[in-house]
Amino acid sequence: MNSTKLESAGVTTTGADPEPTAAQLTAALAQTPRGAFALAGLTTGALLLAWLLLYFFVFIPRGSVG
Amino acid sequence: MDDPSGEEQILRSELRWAVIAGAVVTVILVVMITAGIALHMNPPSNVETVDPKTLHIKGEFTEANLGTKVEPDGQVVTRIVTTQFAFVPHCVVVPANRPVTLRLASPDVLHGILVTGTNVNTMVVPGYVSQVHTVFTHTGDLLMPCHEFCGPGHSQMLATVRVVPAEQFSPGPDGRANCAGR
Repeated sequence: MNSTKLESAGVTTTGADPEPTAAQLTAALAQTPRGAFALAGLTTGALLLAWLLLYFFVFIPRGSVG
Repeated sequence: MDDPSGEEQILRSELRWAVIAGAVVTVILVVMITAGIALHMNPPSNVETVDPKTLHIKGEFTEANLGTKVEPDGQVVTRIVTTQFAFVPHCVVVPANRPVTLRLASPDVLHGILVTGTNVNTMVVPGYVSQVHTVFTHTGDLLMPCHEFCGPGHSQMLATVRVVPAEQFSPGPDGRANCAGR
């Protein structure tokens, strides 16, 4: 990301620096993305729960098949 | 990245997530395999060929042999032919709470069947006999549509599976039962 690309994309800022420094990037990337893991964990858990509910309360009660 | 502890933390987090993802997959596989072994529940799989050009004039799927029949060994077998665009017979009667084997064949194109409210669901491929074992637990008339597009009349291709209580299932002396006479 550099100012040339931002400007060509039509992004203009006044006052705030749009470009993070290398040190800021390094610091941000060095931290574990706990929020991302939390979101992924919650959604995966919800999907697994939904799968289990459907399996045991819809599929199994519909009888044996083979 | 110059901070080794940050890298280690990220690596541990990624490994932890890999373990969680692996555990999710394992749980699902264990549930499916357990149901397959303990409850004998699995996708129908039967590799048995039949000549689609002559199945209507000789062999198991001649018209006189279609429908539900109690075999000499006590097995309830229902034979259905799927055609463009009707099931033959269009109504079959089966007993509840008793193992039933559905056998289907097609003389023309791909068809597929499902029985509403049950797990009966299979393709019917020309040249092969499809076989499904099941136990119907709820009585009543169940809809069996064709669920594989087979032509312009596909949407009208329906059959009825009449599940009757065991005491009302009265095959004749030849072992056959139909919707009219139960």
